[in-house]
Amino acid sequence: MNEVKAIILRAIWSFLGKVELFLPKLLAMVSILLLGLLAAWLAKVIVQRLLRAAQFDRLSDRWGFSLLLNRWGIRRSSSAVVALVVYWTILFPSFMVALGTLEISGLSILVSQFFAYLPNGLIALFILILGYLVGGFLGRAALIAAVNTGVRSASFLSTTVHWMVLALAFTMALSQLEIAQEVLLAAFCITFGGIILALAIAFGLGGKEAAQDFIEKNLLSRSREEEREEEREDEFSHL
Amino acid sequence: MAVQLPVLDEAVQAAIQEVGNVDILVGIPSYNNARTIGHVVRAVQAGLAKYFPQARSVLVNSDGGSQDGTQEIVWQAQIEDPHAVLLVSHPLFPVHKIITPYFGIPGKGSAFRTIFQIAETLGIRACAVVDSDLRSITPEWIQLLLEPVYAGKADYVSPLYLRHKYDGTITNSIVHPLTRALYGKRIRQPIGGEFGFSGELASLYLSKDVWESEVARYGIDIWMTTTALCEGYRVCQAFLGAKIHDAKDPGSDLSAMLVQVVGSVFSLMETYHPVWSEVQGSEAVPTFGFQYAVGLEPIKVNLERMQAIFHQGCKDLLPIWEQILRPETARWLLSVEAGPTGRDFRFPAELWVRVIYDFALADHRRVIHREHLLKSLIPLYLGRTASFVLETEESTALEVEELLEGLCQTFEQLKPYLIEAWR
Repeated sequence: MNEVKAIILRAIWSFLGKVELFLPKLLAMVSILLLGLLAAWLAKVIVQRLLRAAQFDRLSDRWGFSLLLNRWGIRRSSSAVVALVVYWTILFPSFMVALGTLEISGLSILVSQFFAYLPNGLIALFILILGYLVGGFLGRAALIAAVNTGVRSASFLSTTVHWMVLALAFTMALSQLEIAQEVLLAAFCITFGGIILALAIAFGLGGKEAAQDFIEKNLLSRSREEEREEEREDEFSHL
Repeated sequence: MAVQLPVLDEAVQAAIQEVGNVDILVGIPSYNNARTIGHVVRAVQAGLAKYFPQARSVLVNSDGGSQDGTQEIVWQAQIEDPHAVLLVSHPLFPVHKIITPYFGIPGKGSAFRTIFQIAETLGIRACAVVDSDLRSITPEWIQLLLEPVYAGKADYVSPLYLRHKYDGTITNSIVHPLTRALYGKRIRQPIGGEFGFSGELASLYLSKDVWESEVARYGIDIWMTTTALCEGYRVCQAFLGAKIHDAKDPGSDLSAMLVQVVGSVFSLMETYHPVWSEVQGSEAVPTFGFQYAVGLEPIKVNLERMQAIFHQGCKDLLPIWEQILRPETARWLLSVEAGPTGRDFRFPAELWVRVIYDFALADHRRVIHREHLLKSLIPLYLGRTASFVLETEESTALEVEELLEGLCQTFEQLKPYLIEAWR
């Protein structure tokens, strides 16, 4: 009987000992989480106020970022979204650090891997955002230029430019994340090569006359006077 | 902070030393104008000899690196027969020539800056600038551009030409009516290309930090005129007769011209908002010169192409325009697009004024990138131009002027809308 009692007591003491060891870690985890929450909340409020003061929402409208948010069904203002990103950028690592304090072997490896991978993720995110903005800008520039010169498929041209930049940014982002790099490179080359080949075939077969016209107009030498005569359809001066 | 100016060429500095004190300067910006610049230089020389025989004068050619012998032609050009230009008295001083490359962004504005620099260094009293591609310049132009300033009657002389009814469409449909409505002075050719101004005004121009903007290129003309108006200088017009210049391809330059000129107008609206927001109505400015009528060469216009670009703009650029235009303006525009086409196509003047004001407001609020904003105006401008050509097909020059007067009045009437929305 005494032996049973001793075993039970040992188990209880052992458990209490573990609890004694675990409690400070739990306390540390909760403290880090609370600090993280506070820091994230403060950063969110400050960033949102600063962005509003700098009229970021207006700039965001101009860059097309608000349009993107609308398309994704996000009904918040751009400054609120950026502030939210900042909030989670602080809170999520805090959560990982907090988990690390528990010193659970599997979790520790996960936490260290997360922090090793974090820069790649941030760079990839930056590349995607930049790609979206540059794609939108170049797409719009191509659209306006094509409309002003009377190109009928202006919209198609603009969409192509936009998506090509997006595809490039997406490929670069995935490459940064080290996801199937070789497959990705091959896929990118095949897709781009395919697009160019398809365009070449379409232009050569479907637009035989247009191709002939293009070559005659641009590559074969003609007297400057002939060219001027053609260009001078409108003879008025704008200024 | 003082504006950093490029250092003048050593040869130019030596030439300035040699010339000494000068009363009058005539500047000619050029770039590959060998075909016409000889005539311009001779007209300037004859004008100076005939109308300012007592004055010391210098002709400055500010060249952008011509490869066609423009500079050699400027050196060699002389009045062959002084009697042919009816000189009343023999000039006391020869007309000096300074030929210099200009520095900075390639463009007319940078060429003018070098001319202003030389004018300031020489301490001139009156200055004029004339384009190097003119075919219709006469010695009288020099008198008309310089005399009001030289005689102390004005500080800035803007040209007044006779032009074909379809010529100068950016001037007629945007710059002239908008400048008149904003600043309250009826200057018919605010971007004419030929101007007279005082040495003091040249120094003021030089002191402004604008030489890295559109002002360095096509924007220079409207900037000079607006600056003179808003800084309180006395502005007048001089009737020069017909303006005929060397033919160039107008289509290829449209985009750059419109972006630079309209961009400059919008930038000036920011700078001089306190001035124009207080102005109501408009008044005529003194006009010098004897006005007469001349026959002008007919002009070919491709209406089909203009309308096609307008309709394509309505189809493809609508999402962009919806960010720029007020909803009611966009709706009106769509009704025009859906309306009659071909010879019955019309783009109402009031809609055009609202479009321009909305674009100015969108630029003020930085709604989209400025170059995109201005370039997206081109299909609308071509639509309005096509409508104007159709409306005035059978009209005389006088009737066209009356129509333009109506457009100017619409700009003035709708100005409160601009002022209200600008805040």
